[in-house]
Amino acid sequence: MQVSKIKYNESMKYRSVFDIIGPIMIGPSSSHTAGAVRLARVARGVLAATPGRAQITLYGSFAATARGHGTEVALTAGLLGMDPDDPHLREAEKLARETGLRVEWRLADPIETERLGLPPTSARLQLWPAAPAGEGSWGLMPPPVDVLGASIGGGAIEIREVNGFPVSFSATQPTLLVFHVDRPGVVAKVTAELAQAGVNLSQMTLGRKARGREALMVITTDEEITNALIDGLQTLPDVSRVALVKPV
Amino acid sequence: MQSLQELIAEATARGVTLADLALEYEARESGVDPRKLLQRMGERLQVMRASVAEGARPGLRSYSGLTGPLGHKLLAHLAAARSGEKPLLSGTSTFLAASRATAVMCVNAAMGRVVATPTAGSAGIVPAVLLTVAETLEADDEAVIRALFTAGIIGLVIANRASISGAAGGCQAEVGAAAGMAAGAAVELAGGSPEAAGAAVALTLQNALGLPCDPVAGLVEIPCVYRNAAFAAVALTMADLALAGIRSPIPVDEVIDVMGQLGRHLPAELRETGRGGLAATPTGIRLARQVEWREYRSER
Repeated sequence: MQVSKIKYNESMKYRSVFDIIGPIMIGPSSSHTAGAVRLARVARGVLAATPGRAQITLYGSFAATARGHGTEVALTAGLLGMDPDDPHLREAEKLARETGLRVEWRLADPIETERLGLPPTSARLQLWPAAPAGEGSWGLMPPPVDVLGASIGGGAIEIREVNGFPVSFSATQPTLLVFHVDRPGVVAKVTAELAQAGVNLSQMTLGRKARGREALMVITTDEEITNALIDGLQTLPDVSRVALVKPV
Repeated sequence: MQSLQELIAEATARGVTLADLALEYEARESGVDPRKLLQRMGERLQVMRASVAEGARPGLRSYSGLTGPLGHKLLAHLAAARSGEKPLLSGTSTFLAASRATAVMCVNAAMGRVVATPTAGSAGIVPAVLLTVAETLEADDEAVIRALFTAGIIGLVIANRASISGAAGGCQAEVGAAAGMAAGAAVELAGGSPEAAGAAVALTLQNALGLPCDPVAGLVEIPCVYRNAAFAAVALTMADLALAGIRSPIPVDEVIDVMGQLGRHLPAELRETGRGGLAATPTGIRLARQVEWREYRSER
């Protein structure tokens, strides 16, 4: 059989036939329900812990039709770790109350959405982990996780910002976020570790706040990432934290 | 996955179908065995069937209460027509497709389980058209699964060249895309050439151009449910036109591009904000208030 000429294009927003015939999901809206679940699942993955408190800002069409499309229920479901086709999705808000997850909502006005140049279905999710037993409050602690993402249609998402770093990933493959210090050789050590584990990288971006300061590597891989590998990366010098966002 | 015309040319040159190309592409891209991919698509077909069946249930109500058991109503009408009690003005298969599309959308509005094809707001069209065509042609499950790959690759091009988001491109990007996918896949399911499938996509999409996304109360119900019914019928008709040998003078990629451009020109009011079109009619506004009031009361 002749090999197809069709080339893989990195700029393509949708890559899989199953992005189009799918996902299997609980209604009513793929962008406002399934996509919203996925956005929250990514934020939960970046936090790498059970969230105890969330502040969520909704932009554009998300803000305009949040209740009707079940966007708030869906985002809450994602924070709880549910899948887009979870039959208990519609009970997410009740479950959140029972498990002590507090979600605060902010609806951005259309002018703000336009000024920020965001897609019409965007959300910012700021998360705090569940407080350890005995400690009742997070005080004025800034959110350890701050994720800005958009639901771009058909349940697909695009993450645009993580903790102030501009990023671009869709969470359709395992995605590693390696928070590290901007020093020579860190990237080489991380990729060497991945190479040794036989992990192939499909996409990688690098950003830093300032020279020699905080930096973030976002690595998308073809293979699944084991906990042992995450532990290995975590012990590397100048690596401060590693989070794995699993495909949803 | 950026040009349907290139895909059609390649399929024609190699004597394969668009479904073959889709399966080949997906296997290469994911590294998953094609048999596994067919199986994965088969699971989606089962969910589609289940949603069509669930949507025929008499007690089904939407989460908001705005729409009732419409799928049941339509199928009851078809039964009455078959026994000669009531007239059926469209053909049986067209009406069945419209009924099934409605049924799936009622399940969706009830926060039930559906397959987004390509979106939840347009989830009725592809299952309704393909299941109905499969019945007409007595096609087996494997043929329908392959047709879903055809639908998928058509949708992939539309998504990457234009949009499949009502918030970005209006209803034409959702219901229009779904109908184009369904029409092209129906042609291949019926044994039509990749070129005929492309013609069906072009003919269908040009009839959806400019369609706004104007849901009442921001809910995926009015008019989404009815538009799924209408465009299931359009997809079937355009598939027949293509099988009859009609070709679109405007090539399919150009039709997709103009759909993307038109979407960007639609004002925000007509892109899933619930502030324009049918949503902004006096009755649309009244219904929205009614839903808010019900929610307010149910939360007390």
